[in-house]
Amino acid sequence: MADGILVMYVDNPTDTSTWTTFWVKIWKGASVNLQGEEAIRYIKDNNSGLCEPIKSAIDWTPDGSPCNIDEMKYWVPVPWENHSGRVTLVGDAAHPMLPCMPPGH
Amino acid sequence: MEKLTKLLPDHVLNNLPSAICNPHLEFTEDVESLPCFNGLTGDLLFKSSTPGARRISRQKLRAVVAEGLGIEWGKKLSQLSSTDQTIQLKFEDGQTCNVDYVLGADGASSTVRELLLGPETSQPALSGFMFATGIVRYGDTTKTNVITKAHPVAAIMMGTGVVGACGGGVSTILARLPSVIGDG
Repeated sequence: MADGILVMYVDNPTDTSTWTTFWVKIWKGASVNLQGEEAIRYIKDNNSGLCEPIKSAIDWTPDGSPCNIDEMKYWVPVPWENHSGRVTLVGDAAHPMLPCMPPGH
Repeated sequence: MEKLTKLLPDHVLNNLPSAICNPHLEFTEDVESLPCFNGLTGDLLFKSSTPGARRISRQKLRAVVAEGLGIEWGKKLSQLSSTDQTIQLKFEDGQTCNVDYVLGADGASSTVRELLLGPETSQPALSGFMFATGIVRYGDTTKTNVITKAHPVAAIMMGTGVVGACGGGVSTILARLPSVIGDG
Protein backbone atom coordinates (compact mmCIF):
# COMPACT_ATOMS: atom_id res chain seq x y z
CA MET A 1 0.00 0.00 0.00
CA ALA A 2 1.15 3.52 -0.59
CA ASP A 3 -0.36 6.87 0.11
CA GLY A 4 0.59 10.46 -0.50
CA ILE A 5 -0.39 14.01 0.29
CA LEU A 6 0.61 17.17 -1.48
CA VAL A 7 -0.14 20.84 -1.92
CA MET A 8 -2.02 21.56 -5.14
CA TYR A 9 -3.10 25.20 -5.28
CA VAL A 10 -2.13 28.21 -3.20
CA ASP A 11 -4.42 31.22 -3.43
CA ASN A 12 -2.95 33.30 -0.62
CA PRO A 13 0.57 32.16 0.32
CA THR A 14 0.25 33.51 3.87
CA ASP A 15 -3.17 31.98 4.60
CA THR A 16 -3.16 28.17 4.42
CA SER A 17 -6.95 28.06 4.78
CA THR A 18 -7.05 29.15 1.11
CA TRP A 19 -4.84 26.27 -0.03
CA THR A 20 -6.02 23.20 -1.89
CA THR A 21 -4.31 19.90 -1.12
CA PHE A 22 -4.49 16.46 -2.64
CA TRP A 23 -4.35 12.97 -1.22
CA VAL A 24 -3.79 9.67 -2.96
CA LYS A 25 -4.25 6.17 -1.60
CA ILE A 26 -3.29 2.91 -3.28
CA TRP A 27 -4.29 -0.53 -2.05
CA LYS A 28 -4.81 -4.07 -3.26
CA GLY A 29 -8.32 -5.39 -2.96
CA ALA A 30 -11.76 -5.78 -4.45
CA SER A 31 -12.40 -3.81 -7.63
CA VAL A 32 -13.96 -0.40 -6.91
CA ASN A 33 -15.02 2.28 -9.36
CA LEU A 34 -16.68 5.22 -7.61
CA GLN A 35 -16.78 9.00 -8.04
CA GLY A 36 -17.85 11.97 -5.96
CA GLU A 37 -19.90 11.46 -2.80
CA GLU A 38 -19.92 7.66 -3.13
CA ALA A 39 -16.14 7.61 -3.42
CA ILE A 40 -15.76 9.88 -0.38
CA ARG A 41 -18.06 7.66 1.68
CA TYR A 42 -16.21 4.50 0.61
CA ILE A 43 -12.76 5.88 1.35
CA LYS A 44 -13.81 7.20 4.77
CA ASP A 45 -15.49 3.90 5.66
CA ASN A 46 -12.26 2.04 4.82
CA ASN A 47 -9.79 4.38 6.45
CA SER A 48 -8.50 2.32 9.37
CA GLY A 49 -4.88 1.42 9.92
CA LEU A 50 -3.39 4.52 8.35
CA CYS A 51 -1.07 6.81 10.28
CA GLU A 52 -1.30 10.57 10.53
CA PRO A 53 -1.49 12.84 8.68
CA ILE A 54 -2.89 10.78 5.78
CA LYS A 55 -5.70 9.44 7.98
CA SER A 56 -6.92 12.92 8.87
CA ALA A 57 -6.35 14.17 5.32
CA ILE A 58 -8.94 11.63 4.20
CA ASP A 59 -11.26 11.85 7.24
CA TRP A 60 -11.55 15.66 6.88
CA THR A 61 -12.46 15.54 3.17
CA PRO A 62 -15.42 17.91 2.83
CA ASP A 63 -18.56 16.80 0.99
CA GLY A 64 -18.42 17.90 -2.61
CA SER A 65 -14.65 17.42 -2.97
CA PRO A 66 -13.62 15.89 -6.31
CA CYS A 67 -12.88 12.27 -5.40
CA ASN A 68 -12.28 9.27 -7.61
CA ILE A 69 -11.58 5.57 -7.03
CA ASP A 70 -10.69 3.21 -9.86
CA GLU A 71 -8.67 0.09 -10.51
CA MET A 72 -5.27 0.72 -12.04
CA LYS A 73 -4.75 -0.79 -15.47
CA TYR A 74 -1.67 -1.67 -17.47
CA TRP A 75 -0.99 -2.75 -21.02
CA VAL A 76 2.08 -4.41 -22.45
CA PRO A 77 2.91 -2.71 -25.76
CA VAL A 78 2.77 -4.65 -29.03
CA PRO A 79 3.58 -3.27 -32.50
CA TRP A 80 0.73 -1.21 -33.92
CA GLU A 81 -0.24 -0.14 -37.43
CA ASN A 82 1.43 3.25 -37.76
CA HIS A 83 0.06 4.17 -41.19
CA SER A 84 3.49 4.70 -42.77
CA GLY A 85 4.84 6.41 -39.68
CA ARG A 86 2.07 9.00 -39.50
CA VAL A 87 0.14 7.65 -36.48
CA THR A 88 1.64 6.79 -33.13
CA LEU A 89 0.90 6.55 -29.41
CA VAL A 90 2.58 8.28 -26.49
CA GLY A 91 2.31 8.28 -22.71
CA ASP A 92 -0.25 6.05 -21.01
CA ALA A 93 -1.83 5.31 -24.39
CA ALA A 94 1.42 3.60 -25.45
CA HIS A 95 2.52 2.08 -22.15
CA PRO A 96 0.11 2.42 -19.23
CA MET A 97 1.98 1.19 -16.18
CA LEU A 98 1.61 1.02 -12.45
CA PRO A 99 3.46 3.20 -9.95
CA CYS A 100 4.90 0.04 -8.41
CA MET A 101 6.56 -1.00 -11.68
CA PRO A 102 10.18 0.23 -11.77
CA PRO A 103 9.68 2.67 -14.69
CA GLY A 104 6.50 4.03 -13.09
CA HIS A 105 8.22 5.82 -10.27
CA MET B 1 14.62 20.23 -18.27
CA GLU B 2 17.54 20.68 -20.67
CA LYS B 3 15.67 18.77 -23.37
CA LEU B 4 12.42 20.56 -22.62
CA THR B 5 14.18 23.89 -22.94
CA LYS B 6 15.22 22.95 -26.46
CA LEU B 7 11.83 21.59 -27.44
CA LEU B 8 9.34 24.03 -25.99
CA PRO B 9 8.37 27.36 -27.57
CA ASP B 10 9.59 30.39 -25.66
CA HIS B 11 6.14 31.49 -24.46
CA VAL B 12 5.48 28.04 -22.97
CA LEU B 13 8.91 27.91 -21.37
CA ASN B 14 8.49 31.38 -19.89
CA ASN B 15 5.05 30.55 -18.50
CA LEU B 16 6.01 27.16 -17.02
CA PRO B 17 6.59 28.60 -13.52
CA SER B 18 2.92 29.61 -13.38
CA ALA B 19 2.04 25.89 -13.35
CA ILE B 20 3.99 25.23 -10.14
CA CYS B 21 1.64 24.12 -7.35
CA ASN B 22 3.18 26.46 -4.78
CA PRO B 23 5.48 28.95 -6.54
CA HIS B 24 5.90 31.00 -3.34
CA LEU B 25 8.15 28.45 -1.63
CA GLU B 26 11.80 29.02 -1.02
CA PHE B 27 13.24 25.98 -2.77
CA THR B 28 15.81 24.78 -0.26
CA GLU B 29 17.42 21.34 -0.23
CA ASP B 30 14.74 20.11 2.17
CA VAL B 31 11.90 21.46 0.02
CA GLU B 32 13.52 19.80 -3.00
CA SER B 33 13.21 16.35 -1.47
CA LEU B 34 10.47 13.74 -1.24
CA PRO B 35 10.08 12.22 2.23
CA CYS B 36 8.78 8.69 2.58
CA PHE B 37 7.13 7.72 5.87
CA ASN B 38 6.17 4.34 7.28
CA GLY B 39 2.42 4.34 6.63
CA LEU B 40 1.65 2.40 9.81
CA THR B 41 3.88 4.13 12.36
CA GLY B 42 4.48 7.53 10.76
CA ASP B 43 8.26 7.17 11.14
CA LEU B 44 10.42 8.74 8.44
CA LEU B 45 11.93 5.95 6.31
CA PHE B 46 14.04 8.05 3.93
CA LYS B 47 14.16 11.27 1.98
CA SER B 48 14.65 11.12 -1.75
CA SER B 49 16.62 14.08 -3.05
CA THR B 50 14.98 15.76 -6.06
CA PRO B 51 17.18 18.77 -6.87
CA GLY B 52 15.51 21.26 -9.19
CA ALA B 53 12.20 19.36 -9.23
CA ARG B 54 8.95 21.32 -9.12
CA ARG B 55 5.53 19.87 -8.44
CA ILE B 56 3.14 21.21 -11.04
CA SER B 57 -0.62 21.34 -11.40
CA ARG B 58 -1.87 19.52 -14.48
CA GLN B 59 -4.75 21.96 -14.78
CA LYS B 60 -2.41 24.96 -14.75
CA LEU B 61 0.08 23.25 -17.02
CA ARG B 62 -2.65 22.50 -19.51
CA ALA B 63 -3.46 26.18 -19.65
CA VAL B 64 0.21 27.00 -20.25
CA VAL B 65 0.77 24.51 -23.08
CA ALA B 66 -2.63 25.19 -24.66
CA GLU B 67 -1.92 28.86 -25.24
CA GLY B 68 -2.14 29.69 -28.94
CA LEU B 69 -3.33 26.21 -29.92
CA GLY B 70 -6.69 25.59 -31.54
CA ILE B 71 -8.10 22.88 -29.31
CA GLU B 72 -11.55 21.40 -29.71
CA TRP B 73 -12.65 19.83 -26.44
CA GLY B 74 -15.12 17.02 -25.93
CA LYS B 75 -14.55 15.34 -29.30
CA LYS B 76 -14.80 11.56 -29.41
CA LEU B 77 -12.84 9.79 -32.13
CA SER B 78 -14.72 6.95 -33.83
CA GLN B 79 -12.74 6.07 -36.97
CA LEU B 80 -9.19 6.37 -38.23
CA SER B 81 -8.13 5.48 -41.77
CA SER B 82 -5.45 6.55 -44.21
CA THR B 83 -4.69 7.10 -47.87
CA ASP B 84 -1.31 7.78 -49.43
CA GLN B 85 -1.90 11.47 -48.91
CA THR B 86 -3.67 11.84 -45.59
CA ILE B 87 -4.99 10.40 -42.36
CA GLN B 88 -8.76 10.60 -42.11
CA LEU B 89 -10.40 11.02 -38.72
CA LYS B 90 -14.09 10.67 -38.03
CA PHE B 91 -15.70 11.79 -34.79
CA GLU B 92 -18.87 10.64 -33.07
CA ASP B 93 -20.56 13.97 -33.80
CA GLY B 94 -20.19 13.19 -37.51
CA GLN B 95 -17.34 15.62 -38.17
CA THR B 96 -14.49 14.34 -40.30
CA CYS B 97 -11.08 15.85 -40.89
CA ASN B 98 -7.92 15.06 -42.82
CA VAL B 99 -4.60 15.45 -41.07
CA ASP B 100 -0.92 14.72 -41.74
CA TYR B 101 -0.12 13.14 -38.37
CA VAL B 102 -1.95 11.65 -35.38
CA LEU B 103 -0.38 11.52 -31.94
CA GLY B 104 -2.53 9.28 -29.76
CA ALA B 105 -1.95 10.57 -26.25
CA ASP B 106 -5.37 9.72 -24.87
CA GLY B 107 -4.50 7.73 -21.79
CA ALA B 108 -4.53 4.17 -20.46
CA SER B 109 -7.86 3.38 -22.14
CA SER B 110 -6.76 5.00 -25.41
CA THR B 111 -9.32 5.21 -28.21
CA VAL B 112 -6.54 5.69 -30.77
CA ARG B 113 -4.93 2.45 -29.53
CA GLU B 114 -8.26 0.63 -29.87
CA LEU B 115 -8.69 1.89 -33.42
CA LEU B 116 -5.15 0.80 -34.34
CA LEU B 117 -5.26 -2.64 -32.71
CA GLY B 118 -8.88 -3.61 -32.18
CA PRO B 119 -10.79 -3.87 -28.90
CA GLU B 120 -9.22 -7.15 -27.71
CA THR B 121 -5.53 -6.49 -28.31
CA SER B 122 -5.78 -2.93 -27.04
CA GLN B 123 -7.65 -3.87 -23.86
CA PRO B 124 -5.68 -2.90 -20.74
CA ALA B 125 -5.27 -5.52 -18.00
CA LEU B 126 -6.65 -5.01 -14.50
CA SER B 127 -3.95 -4.84 -11.83
CA GLY B 128 -5.91 -5.61 -8.67
CA PHE B 129 -4.70 -2.29 -7.23
CA MET B 130 -7.16 0.48 -6.48
CA PHE B 131 -6.17 4.11 -6.88
CA ALA B 132 -8.11 6.74 -4.96
CA THR B 133 -7.60 10.48 -5.23
CA GLY B 134 -9.17 13.45 -3.49
CA ILE B 135 -8.78 17.16 -4.19
CA VAL B 136 -9.57 18.94 -0.96
CA ARG B 137 -9.87 22.48 0.29
CA TYR B 138 -10.40 22.23 4.04
CA GLY B 139 -10.87 25.98 4.41
CA ASP B 140 -9.24 25.59 7.79
CA THR B 141 -5.72 26.72 8.70
CA THR B 142 -5.25 24.08 11.41
CA LYS B 143 -6.23 21.18 9.18
CA THR B 144 -4.23 22.36 6.19
CA ASN B 145 -1.18 22.91 8.40
CA VAL B 146 -1.37 19.28 9.57
CA ILE B 147 -1.04 18.24 5.92
CA THR B 148 1.75 20.64 4.99
CA LYS B 149 3.71 19.85 8.15
CA ALA B 150 4.63 16.43 6.70
CA HIS B 151 6.33 18.30 3.85
CA PRO B 152 5.61 21.64 2.13
CA VAL B 153 5.39 20.04 -1.35
CA ALA B 154 4.52 16.34 -1.10
CA ALA B 155 5.00 13.32 1.14
CA ILE B 156 4.60 9.60 0.62
CA MET B 157 3.52 6.98 3.12
CA MET B 158 4.33 3.38 2.41
CA GLY B 159 2.78 0.33 3.96
CA THR B 160 3.90 -3.25 3.61
CA GLY B 161 3.82 -5.39 0.51
CA VAL B 162 3.98 -2.80 -2.21
CA VAL B 163 6.46 -0.12 -3.09
CA GLY B 164 4.55 2.70 -4.67
CA ALA B 165 4.66 6.42 -5.15
CA CYS B 166 2.58 9.23 -6.48
CA GLY B 167 3.83 10.64 -9.74
CA GLY B 168 4.52 14.17 -10.75
CA GLY B 169 7.16 16.37 -12.23
CA VAL B 170 8.07 16.11 -15.85
CA SER B 171 6.12 12.92 -16.54
CA THR B 172 2.93 14.84 -15.90
CA ILE B 173 3.64 17.07 -18.86
CA LEU B 174 3.42 14.21 -21.35
CA ALA B 175 0.65 12.42 -19.55
CA ARG B 176 -1.78 15.30 -19.91
CA LEU B 177 -1.31 16.26 -23.54
CA PRO B 178 -3.85 13.56 -24.51
CA SER B 179 -6.57 16.08 -24.14
CA VAL B 180 -5.59 17.55 -27.51
CA ILE B 181 -7.35 14.65 -29.15
CA GLY B 182 -9.65 11.98 -27.85
CA ASP B 183 -11.84 12.15 -24.82
CA GLY B 184 -10.80 15.58 -23.49
